[in-house]
Amino acid sequence: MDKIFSGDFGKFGGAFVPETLIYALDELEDYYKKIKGDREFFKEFNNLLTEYAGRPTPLTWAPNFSKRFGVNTYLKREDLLHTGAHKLNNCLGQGLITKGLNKKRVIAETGAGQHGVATATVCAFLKIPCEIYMGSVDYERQKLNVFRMELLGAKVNKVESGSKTLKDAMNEALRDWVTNINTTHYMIGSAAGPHPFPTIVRDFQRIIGEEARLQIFKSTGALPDAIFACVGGGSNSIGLFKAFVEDSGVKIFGAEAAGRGIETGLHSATLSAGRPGVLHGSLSYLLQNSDGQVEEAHSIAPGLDYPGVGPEHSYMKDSKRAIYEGITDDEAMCALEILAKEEGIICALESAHAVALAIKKVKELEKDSTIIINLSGRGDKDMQTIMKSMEAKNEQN
Amino acid sequence: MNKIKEILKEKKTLIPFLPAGYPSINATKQFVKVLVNCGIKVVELGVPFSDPVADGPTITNSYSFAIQNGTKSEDVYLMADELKDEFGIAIIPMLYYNLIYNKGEENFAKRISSFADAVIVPDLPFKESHRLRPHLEKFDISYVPFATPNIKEEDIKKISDYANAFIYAVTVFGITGARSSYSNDTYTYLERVKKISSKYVAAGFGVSSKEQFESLPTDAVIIGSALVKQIEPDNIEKSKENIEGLIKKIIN
Ligand SMILES: Cc1ncc(COP(=O)(O)O)c(C=O)c1O
Repeated sequence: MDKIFSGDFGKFGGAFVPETLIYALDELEDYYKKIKGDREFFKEFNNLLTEYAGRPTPLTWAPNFSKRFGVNTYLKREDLLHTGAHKLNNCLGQGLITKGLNKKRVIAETGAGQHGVATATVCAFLKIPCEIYMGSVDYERQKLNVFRMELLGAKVNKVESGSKTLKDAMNEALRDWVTNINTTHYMIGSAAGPHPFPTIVRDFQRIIGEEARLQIFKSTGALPDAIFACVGGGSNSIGLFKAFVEDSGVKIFGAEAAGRGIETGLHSATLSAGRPGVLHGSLSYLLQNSDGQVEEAHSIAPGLDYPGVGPEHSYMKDSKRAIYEGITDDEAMCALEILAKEEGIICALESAHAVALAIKKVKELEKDSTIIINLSGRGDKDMQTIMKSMEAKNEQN
Repeated sequence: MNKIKEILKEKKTLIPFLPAGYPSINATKQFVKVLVNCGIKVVELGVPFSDPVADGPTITNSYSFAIQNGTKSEDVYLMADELKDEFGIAIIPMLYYNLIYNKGEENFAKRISSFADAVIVPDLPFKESHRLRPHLEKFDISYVPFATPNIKEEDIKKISDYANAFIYAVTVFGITGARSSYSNDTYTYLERVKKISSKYVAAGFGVSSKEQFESLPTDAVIIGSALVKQIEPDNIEKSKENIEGLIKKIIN
């Protein structure tokens, strides 16, 4: 357990934060070590996952998509989870931790607003006041989620600094945490940030892969040949990947956001185009200029619009266990439409990146291969963005 | 003996912080000259970073300004070399870890050794400091550990062993930014650090007045945001007057 718990993923990971936070991180680590083997905690957690969140989520056979692309395709349906994305798994776990640590207030950052909504949801029924930091760009493009958070009783703080997206929301949340360290738990939304967050968030998201592994066996009697997930900070992807890491026959693919194209500089393809650096507490791949200044990310999918990535993905990239590739805004939009028309499922723009990568990789797979694509969330939150993008396309033509 | 220790030994010391390159490298140089003329012997120079999570809006905005103006870390180091030659003051660069990692720890230590007496890294807690300390030691640059209001007694002892020049005691839970006064807790905690550690202690975060400078029970006091607020980007002469005014008010 100590090895798992070192928080070092090869050379990646660590806790590069102001000294003040170390005490809270140590406290969190100690508490987490304690509950890791605690049946009562996991009984409560699993109970919430089934009774409240709606787990297990289905593994859906996609017949038309499969026929069109010539691979047996199964979709892991995190889009059907309560609140509409995988983020709730992590928030339920961290909500129980917040209670256990006796913290009276929760803060969180959000990009797409999905983590903000999941945080607000959990805090509502656990009766913990919460404040969500959100970049003003995301605030505008995910207005519906802002409204949802407020309806759930959360306070949403607009962040105007830097690129006004997820990175800056996280800076602001960290500043809040340093200031209110004694009363507040920082509910980080992805498998990123300082140790022990990447480990804790991964463990709460592992359920995605564990279920999928059982479900695919049940449906096909075998392991899949390849699995696909989108990578923002890296939580839905690590949650799926972890259960298959030891299965060397399973190819693992992570889809990053290549935005308008990596060559334009307007992208969030951290693993494909970045190099190791330190942001938000961990050493991991990072989009930065030659001087070490962090660069602004771009993606049509707000949940992927982040210049960093969780440290375990950096480790999986360098150890070549997983392959990470960029998907452009256009490719993601196209994949979203295909999935909608073929299977009647409108997925989130983030998840559409995973779908697009699967479509691209089909050629490299043997005929009649079986694949799993993680649909990390549903597309309701993105309707406005999608409409605007389609209008812009039509005007061009 | 370490230059900073010599200075702190003499009397209670004010250490001003300036974000290098705000509003320009040339202006920063002039500001340091003003400080030296006021009798300042140690300055902390902030190397601009895009994501300064330990800093409040005043310093964060000054860094954004400097970066947008094209300030590179190497520009700051070149300026620091010149300041060292011209004034012989003690210089403490303050910068976030990615700027160090990006250059490579050893290269970084080597590069700053021409001017730096110590270095402050706000996002490098003691736990992670093993990555940098050996390289600093090699070039005779002091590592500065942090004390925070929630520090345990055994940790004060531990960091004291590694502090060559001084311990940086963060006065409050929070980020940089001027505060008008401190609670009693701040004084109690700083006295505790002073009592347990045999090393020099510098208090920082929130200092803006003579009253605070005099009442904080430490060997040195760092003034940052309140000084940065004196800078008017489009009026260097006025900024110099403001800086001189504030510093003189505090130390005279
Ligand atoms: C639906 C959806 N998928 C994916 C992500 C990306 O996050 P992660 O990489 O942590 O799964 C988000 C983030 O907001 C999201 O809302």
